[in-house]
Amino acid sequence: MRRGIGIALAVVAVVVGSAEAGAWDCWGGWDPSEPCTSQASSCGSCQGCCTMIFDCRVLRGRNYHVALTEYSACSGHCLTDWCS
Amino acid sequence: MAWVITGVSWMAAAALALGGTPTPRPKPLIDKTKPVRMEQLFQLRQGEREVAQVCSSSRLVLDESARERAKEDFHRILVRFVDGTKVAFYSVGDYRNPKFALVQTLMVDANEGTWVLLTARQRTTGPGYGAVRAVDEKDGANPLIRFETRSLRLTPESSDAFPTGKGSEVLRTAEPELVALLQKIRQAFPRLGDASMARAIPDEMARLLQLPDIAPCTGCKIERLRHATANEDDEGKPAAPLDPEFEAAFGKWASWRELPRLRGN
Repeated sequence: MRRGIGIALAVVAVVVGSAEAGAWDCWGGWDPSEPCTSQASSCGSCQGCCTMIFDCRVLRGRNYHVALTEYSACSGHCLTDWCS
Repeated sequence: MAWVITGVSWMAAAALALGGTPTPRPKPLIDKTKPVRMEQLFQLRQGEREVAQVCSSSRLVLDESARERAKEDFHRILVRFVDGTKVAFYSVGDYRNPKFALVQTLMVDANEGTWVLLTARQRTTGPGYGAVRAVDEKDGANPLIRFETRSLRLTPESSDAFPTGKGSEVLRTAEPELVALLQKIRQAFPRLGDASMARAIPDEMARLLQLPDIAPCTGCKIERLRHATANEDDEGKPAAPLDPEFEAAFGKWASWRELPRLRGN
């Protein structure tokens, strides 16, 4: 019985892990919960991070106004922190 | 003495001409907890041919936690095609009400002076942008509560067509040119990449109006030409526009911080 529950939990963990991994593909390797500026090393990569997160959000059918605000804020950080 | 001064002057001139070690340009001081005016000027190209220039402008708070408490934000996208077509888009969020947020999206044909204004209401859990963003993650319902043109005003109370999702049919019949223009814009820009930002407001309007999807431009590229970010001054006076001439070409349809006056002017 215990073994069965253990196997079931392991299967669930794998499925959840796969779903997470799939979700991350949408973000192109960027972590959407971290600021783009902390993950970037240049103006271009910072803007690329913002674009990726924006695209991902739009592709998933989220509210465009929120997507636009998030993109603009992210881009604003890049422009002020990275892009001269 | 004169030859000493001449010599020093020549040395200084030579140093300037040869260009010594470049001193890094100081970054503008931005208070990210206060609203900024952020603008970018883009060029849209198809191959080597310029198709349009786009000026995107936002008034918002950059700092994450300060933005959570923001009661409003403002986005404007001005598109000027090389054929002379000028279109202005606005998206304005109002987060003051603790129960619902209002988002107004507007498209103006700046050549003809025709426009369509959509108002969407979204459920929220408190005042401020952060609450709306959190709710938005789960809520996929069509929140359109009103749409309006120069000759038409439609609300759930005023028309049976509204709740049954026939609003777009009404608009297509009443304002076919505006619908065609909206679709033209969606077709002119790529779906992904920086250019997709210019599609954000048109795509949102199309979604609210339940217009059919349209293939984006796949051979188009966008290049950022210039940008500027600045706080308002202490009295709330906005920073200077990035490109006053570009803005001026839109006349009264290029407003800042609020939608342009649609009637009575």
